[in-house]
Amino acid sequence: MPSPVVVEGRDVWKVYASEAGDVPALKGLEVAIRKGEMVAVMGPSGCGKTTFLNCFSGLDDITKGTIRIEGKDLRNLSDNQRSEYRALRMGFVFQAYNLLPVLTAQENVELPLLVAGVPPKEARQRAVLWLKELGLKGREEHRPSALSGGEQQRVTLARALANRPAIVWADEPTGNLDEENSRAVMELLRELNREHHQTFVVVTHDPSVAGACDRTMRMRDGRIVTD
Amino acid sequence: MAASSRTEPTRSGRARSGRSSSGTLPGKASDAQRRGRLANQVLLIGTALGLVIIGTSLWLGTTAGSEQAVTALSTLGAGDPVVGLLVLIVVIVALFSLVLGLKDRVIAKIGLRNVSRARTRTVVLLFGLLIGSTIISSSLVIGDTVNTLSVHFTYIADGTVDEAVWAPAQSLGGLGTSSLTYAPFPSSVFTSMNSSLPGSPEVSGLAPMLLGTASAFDLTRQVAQPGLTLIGADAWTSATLGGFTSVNGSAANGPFSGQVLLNPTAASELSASVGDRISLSGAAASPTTYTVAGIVRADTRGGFQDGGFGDVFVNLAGAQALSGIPGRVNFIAVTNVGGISGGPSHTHTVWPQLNASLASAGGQRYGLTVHSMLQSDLLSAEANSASLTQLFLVLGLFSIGAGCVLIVGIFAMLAEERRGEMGVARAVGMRRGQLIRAYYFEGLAYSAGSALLGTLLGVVVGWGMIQAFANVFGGGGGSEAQAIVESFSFTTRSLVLAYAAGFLLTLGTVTVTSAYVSRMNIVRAIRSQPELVERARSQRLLLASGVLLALLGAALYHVGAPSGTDMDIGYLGVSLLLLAVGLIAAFRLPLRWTFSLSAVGLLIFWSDLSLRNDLFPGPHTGTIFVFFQEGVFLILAAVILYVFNSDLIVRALTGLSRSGSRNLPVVRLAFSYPAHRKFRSAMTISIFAMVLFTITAIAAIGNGISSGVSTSIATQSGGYEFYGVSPNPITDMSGTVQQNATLRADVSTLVPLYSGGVMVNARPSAPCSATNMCFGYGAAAAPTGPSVPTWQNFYGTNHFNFTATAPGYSPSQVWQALESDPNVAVVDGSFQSNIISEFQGNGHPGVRAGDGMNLTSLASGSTVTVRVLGILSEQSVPVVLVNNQTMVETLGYSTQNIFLFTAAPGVSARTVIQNFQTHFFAEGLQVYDFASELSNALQFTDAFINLLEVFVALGLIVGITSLGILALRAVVERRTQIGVVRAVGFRRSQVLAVFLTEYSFLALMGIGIGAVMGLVLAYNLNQAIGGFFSFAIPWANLAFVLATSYALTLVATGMPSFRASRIPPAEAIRYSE
Repeated sequence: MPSPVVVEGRDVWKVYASEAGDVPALKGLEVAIRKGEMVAVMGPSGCGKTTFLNCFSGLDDITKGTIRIEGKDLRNLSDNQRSEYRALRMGFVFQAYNLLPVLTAQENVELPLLVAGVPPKEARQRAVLWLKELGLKGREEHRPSALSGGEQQRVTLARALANRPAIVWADEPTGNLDEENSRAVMELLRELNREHHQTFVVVTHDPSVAGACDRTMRMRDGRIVTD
Repeated sequence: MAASSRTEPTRSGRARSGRSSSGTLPGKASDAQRRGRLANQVLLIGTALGLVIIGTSLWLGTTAGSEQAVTALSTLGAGDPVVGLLVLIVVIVALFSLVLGLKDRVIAKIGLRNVSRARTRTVVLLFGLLIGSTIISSSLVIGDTVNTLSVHFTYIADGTVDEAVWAPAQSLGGLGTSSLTYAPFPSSVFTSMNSSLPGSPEVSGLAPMLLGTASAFDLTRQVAQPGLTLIGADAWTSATLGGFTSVNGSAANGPFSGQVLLNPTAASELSASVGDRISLSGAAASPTTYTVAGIVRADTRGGFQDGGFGDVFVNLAGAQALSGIPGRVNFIAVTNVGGISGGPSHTHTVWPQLNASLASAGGQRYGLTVHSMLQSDLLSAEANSASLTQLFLVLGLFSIGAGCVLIVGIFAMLAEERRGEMGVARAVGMRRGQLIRAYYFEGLAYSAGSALLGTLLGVVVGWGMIQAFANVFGGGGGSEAQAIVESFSFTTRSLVLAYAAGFLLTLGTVTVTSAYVSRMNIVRAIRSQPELVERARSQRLLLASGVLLALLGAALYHVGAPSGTDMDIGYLGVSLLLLAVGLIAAFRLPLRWTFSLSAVGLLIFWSDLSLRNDLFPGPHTGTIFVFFQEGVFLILAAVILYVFNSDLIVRALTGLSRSGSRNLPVVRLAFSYPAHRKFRSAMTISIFAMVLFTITAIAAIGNGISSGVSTSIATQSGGYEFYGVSPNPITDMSGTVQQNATLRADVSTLVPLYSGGVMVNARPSAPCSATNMCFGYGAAAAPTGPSVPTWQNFYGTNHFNFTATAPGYSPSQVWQALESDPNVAVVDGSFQSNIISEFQGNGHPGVRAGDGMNLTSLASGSTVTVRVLGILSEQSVPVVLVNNQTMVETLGYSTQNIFLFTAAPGVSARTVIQNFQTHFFAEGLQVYDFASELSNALQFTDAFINLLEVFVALGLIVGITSLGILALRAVVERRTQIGVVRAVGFRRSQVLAVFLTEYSFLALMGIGIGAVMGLVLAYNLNQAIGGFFSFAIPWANLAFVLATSYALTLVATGMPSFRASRIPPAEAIRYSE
């Protein structure tokens, strides 16, 4: 029996308005991603990969169409409901790590847990565990500026996964890393995916990253051309 | 799994424009260029206008036009060396900048273009930078206006009397009980002088006069008024003083025999009209009846010497008869050629001629001297307005300081924002010096623009303050208020001074900051990574700074400590030594410990007045800058403590919110930024602290005075309710009251005091000289002996308190000694020696209990040495209390002119005042109610303190601006981070809460430090002064100020915070500066 669909998009359009005219970034996408799948979204620069991720994760509004995450229509959720949903069910990994510079590694990992209402003590324990699991034991009290790129990306991963989200959205997670670190991060993602049976949507332009995923969707000019 | 695409829809709603798409369009770029050009033009015009003001000043300073260039420089600022120097520096800076700009046009262009990069920010920056100029400008405008007003009133009071010949009256001093203003002398002195001076081309004429006080009773209206200024002068001899003008505009002749002329104040007090019959009483036994011949305008001759109740003009013979001194005058008025405004310029020539003439007339025999009246009074007026300017400037120093901190902060923030591009610029070959110069040109434009705006805004602020002054001092309306409003004026000198000072202050701060921020590691700058501090180098720098500061501190302490007269230097020395200890110790010990130690040391030193007094044993003096120093170091210490312990504070505050974990991420993030961005936080906290420090200190001082006055009415009055002063002796008031059933029923206590004038030498070991100031004062003594009934016995009825008694004397022993010992005295509270006695306004040196002083009678000339056994806390009646025998037998005063009363139960103050003034009308008795006198003083103090509070609150603009800039910057700087926290589940309201909590924390920290330190200053001031001023926390006032400050903070940061919370997360995440 196939796993249930957790991410579903029907006729999804995203159009940016500018003084020069409307600029469509997503053009009527039809998407379905099942639970536990690890999907790569590939394509050249400007094809709409990041817009895809932003819209399907609820970070951005769509212009037309329907997106359902675990059966919930994102357009029917208020901003607060979407925030809460992200806090409880989603994790994010960004290319530039985007850790909060004023917080330590541990505090960065604790943050989504606290937002989700996890008691502070438990949040601390879970953060420490995740950092340990990702090989960052002893680096808990370091601020991002004192960590290497690979270490920062692992902290980002810990932050994304600490809350055991149903879906993890990763935007070029290896974009700023060298080959060795890229491979390590992807192996880690793969392992976590298998171990926790979470859904991963990885936006990338790196074929080796895509190769590590179960499935690859290729985009061009705002459309999915192959899947 | 299926995935496909459908047809592209037409333009639809809810689409959001991308940030990057619009900015790169050609049309937009051209708009930006146009905006940039416009901003540059505005700045150039601003600079040009500023230079026009300076040019005008130069022109005014060199009106001759034909002067040589060197002379022109020496007369810059119309002969004012300070203005001249500042203008000279501005001109040099302008020329230097021009040469620099022409030499390196590209760098100048880069700097100037940076000004127009963000219009909103430029406007905010200009507002942030202009505060220094505004404070300076408004202080000077207030001074100019007060000067104009004082000159106006001086001209009215002095009229055309450029010089005057007179001798002090015998009862000179605080009690002023004589009916004659000056000592009388024979008219022959005038006749002799008049005949010896006709050859002087600069003297227009001399007029003999008799000046005193008189009581008047309008027989027609049945209205009495004591205390009128009596002016006796003949119409023909006083013609050179100018004629009288009736209130209806026609010329008024006289005064002739049997007639009086009244000025509007006197007419109003008496409800008199032309033709009324007036009964006048002076020192002579019987009153004389006159007819009111005219009511004359006070803005010409009719305002001469008006003491407040109005002028009554009679002819000379009439005044002599009223005063009981026929053939004598007490004042010779001298009028120079040149009219009312030109006359004083001849004083330096006329003065020696008058002296020679007076000597030949034998004037010295009567103690007569020549006084340069109008010129001196004009100088006094100028000095008074200068004092007021100084007061406002000193109070504004904290706001100016806050403005400087803001400038440093703004440029440090600009540098941080442009760190990446600065790194790139350095990478492609730009030298550090060029980077500094680019900032310099940018700062030059900001400085020129903000100084101009600030100067003009200062004029507006000054105008507002003058309107408020009119309300306070003019009683909310009437001619005085109108005169104040009409006196609003400012000089070119003030505008130039404000512009030049503001411009140089801003530019200097900008230049120093630019040099600092331009130091960078190029690679880290390009990567926008924070600068790494090389530990060894940093430690060496700390050590070197510490040693330097220690040497400087020790030198200052060495200079300041032994003299004991200039506390500023000694205190500064100790403060620098304390800072040096921290810096030197930091070479080996953790920074937190060493700097915290220094800060705590500073806090203790500046909070504990007794410690400072132990280090610098008094008596000593200082200037108002001691308190400026106190404020600066207290705030500095508090901010150092915060900076080096902010993580502990944040941890403690975060810990407090653990119970509600939903708030924890908000609280943690909100407090993490201030703890992480120490420099910015310290800057904002310092700014708020400095401003709130001044406001709180002024509010507390005002409240202390009010509270001191209201709670010490009983102390000040010694338990009596009224005091009466009679210009003419009342032979036996006690007997009269005893026999008059009405008067006796009015009072439960009546104490008569002998009084008279004495010359006080508070340092009897040396003769009176310029360095040992002797001064006229009032002496008084209470009758003693078995014949004095209990209800008239001063020693049995007074409840005066002492602030100090001589060693070994209890208060009761002091009174016993005064009653029996002819060589002891008790002085009022104004004699208390303290470090601010110089500017307390006492106008005389202080003494300590146990000291000796010499009293020389102005009547008999005899001198007695007395030991001061006690210093009273009262200051409302200025007096040296001596023994009865000393007063009568040694000093030669045997008349009773001062009376202390207490109303009988159930008798109103009005009844007592009315009955006693009516009964002793002929003697001119005036009875004052202690409570209402003090209450009037209280109202005035309250209003003035409120004005000062409003003025220093201008500094809040700096605080608000700093937080506004910080918030605006944070929205840009943290855009990506906002996206991230939104991605992990923060709601909009939580983002808003993060920002508002952060700014609230900073503002409240600054407000708290400022308020507490302001109270510490007020407390120390109370310890130093005592007397009238008690320490009382102004809770209501403080709550209002703090709430307003905080509310303004929310207003300033609310909009940027709201904007931050509304940024769509996807847009925020992909943003890069």
